[in-house]
Amino acid sequence: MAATPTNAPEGFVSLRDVFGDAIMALGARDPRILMLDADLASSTRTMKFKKTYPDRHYNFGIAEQNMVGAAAGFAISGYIPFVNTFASFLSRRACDQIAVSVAYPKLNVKFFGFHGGINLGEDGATQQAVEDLAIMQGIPGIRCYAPIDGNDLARVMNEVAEVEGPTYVRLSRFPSPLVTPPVASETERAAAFRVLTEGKDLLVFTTSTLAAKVIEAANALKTEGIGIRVLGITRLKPLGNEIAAEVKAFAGKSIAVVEEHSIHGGLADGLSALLDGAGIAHRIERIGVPDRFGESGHPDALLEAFGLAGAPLRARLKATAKR
Amino acid sequence: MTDQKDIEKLEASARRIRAHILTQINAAGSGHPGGSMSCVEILAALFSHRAAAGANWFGRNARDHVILSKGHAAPALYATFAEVGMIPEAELLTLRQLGSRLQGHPDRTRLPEVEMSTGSLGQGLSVSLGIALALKLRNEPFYSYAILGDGEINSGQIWEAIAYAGTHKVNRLVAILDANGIQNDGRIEEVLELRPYAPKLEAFGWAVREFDGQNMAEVVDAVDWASSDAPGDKPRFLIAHTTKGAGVSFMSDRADWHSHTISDEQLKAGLKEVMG
Repeated sequence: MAATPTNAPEGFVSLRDVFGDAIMALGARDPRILMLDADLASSTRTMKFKKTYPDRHYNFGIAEQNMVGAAAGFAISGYIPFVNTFASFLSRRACDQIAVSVAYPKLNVKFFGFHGGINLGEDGATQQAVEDLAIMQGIPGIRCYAPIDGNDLARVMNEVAEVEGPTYVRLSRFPSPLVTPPVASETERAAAFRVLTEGKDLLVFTTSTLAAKVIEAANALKTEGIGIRVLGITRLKPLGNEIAAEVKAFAGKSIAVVEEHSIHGGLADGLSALLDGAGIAHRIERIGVPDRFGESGHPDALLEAFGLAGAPLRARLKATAKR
Repeated sequence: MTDQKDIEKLEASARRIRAHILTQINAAGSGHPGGSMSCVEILAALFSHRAAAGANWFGRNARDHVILSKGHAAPALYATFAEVGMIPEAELLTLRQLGSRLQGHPDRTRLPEVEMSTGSLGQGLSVSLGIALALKLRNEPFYSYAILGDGEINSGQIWEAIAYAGTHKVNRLVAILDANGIQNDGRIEEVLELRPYAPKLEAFGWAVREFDGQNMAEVVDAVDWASSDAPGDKPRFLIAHTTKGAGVSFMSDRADWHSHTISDEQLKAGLKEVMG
């Protein structure tokens, strides 16, 4: 399947299409950048890069462990390899290689996990990833990102291409609306947090393209008189210290984290650790994937079934606000 | 063919490397003597002969690259570094101590002379593959060597790398198998039998050579062949038939010496054997 146009509603953007454009720009800017694929180049949108720079694209076949090891060799040789495959296969199959061959020796390898979360939908649990961020955040020294829309991904691409050391970027499959401003320049980086909606009753942290669903819920609850301040978090590790002040300002009120990830090892855990370290008492309502795998279904139906969108999410946020 | 005098020099070098291995593991109180002793001739041929490494060798950008994928043979690597002047000999005694650059398994962030951090077996060949691809991309006349253990090649990742290198004719890649016939829990045939190696590797598109891995002249000859245009566009695989614990009779060909302490008495006896 060649780079088919994404069947997205008006105003919706697919992160992988943004990725495909970004690597063309970055590749032109920096000849050290290479693309590594594992027989999913049509899914990861690297075909155009391959066509333009045939010598700088490598397809390792369905052999993720070897791909990650070879990336380490490229990095040792002064190149900047972008390693692309599904978040599930990357984080689960090649976990030890990422840890031992890349993170431990602190090599400059850029990982891109496609189809993170459950919004891949119909393909089901094996291709979805509800634990990728837990795995990648648990490995010492890897900076982790989950961009909240296409514009945000453009900023993340600038950042990861520039920072030295291993990085992980989780991309979502399902196209999502743009909720952040367009990237301002080639040097603009991801913000520590971004205010997505204003409100005084409840503070909600969210990440990845699920942010759009949280904004939707917050807007709906506003009409019921519940004001929610939604903060979008793009960089999960390290979390910006500025975030602690945001929580402090909400002292005595409820906090929730909404994430398309296991409630173990994701944003909620990272936020909790940050607040513990800053000595800020807190109770976080964890709205995420409970201790279970995903399943097949239309992305929107799945997100609702998991309580991460629509009426179930609104009900959960309402209850938390009134806690 | 390498001059007999040069071979004798390398043999003397190998004896000193063996002595360093014994001394290090005795001082550390733990380590992997068996697999360290079996790959000594390979390391001597690579660092002293092929790369002609010296104190400043590693700082050069344009050079060969050597990864000890069987990272548990770290004492042999450190001993070789000391032998060619890349690290001070006295540092060898810090092996495995808190704060030492000489970690139990090689760590490139602490000791930059280590090409790659290894220890989780099966990973080094892929890294050497990446380096070999980079050498080809830059059209550099050097080679990327990976030293593998025969237990290590149980790992599926090794065969992923073998398939890739064969498919894409990565002829800057040289894998050297330290085939000592014994892995952690016992003999290869009792754990996971992958022999015969040569026909499998040839079927994957590699040029293969087998030889006595404890015979310095044969090792040097094989390394020279692998580092030449002779094998054409194929990646190169050297099967070095070795003996675990080679050089010390009471360690020789014994699985229990895979991971073992070396007592002061054993050190004395071992040094006597290796130095003659």
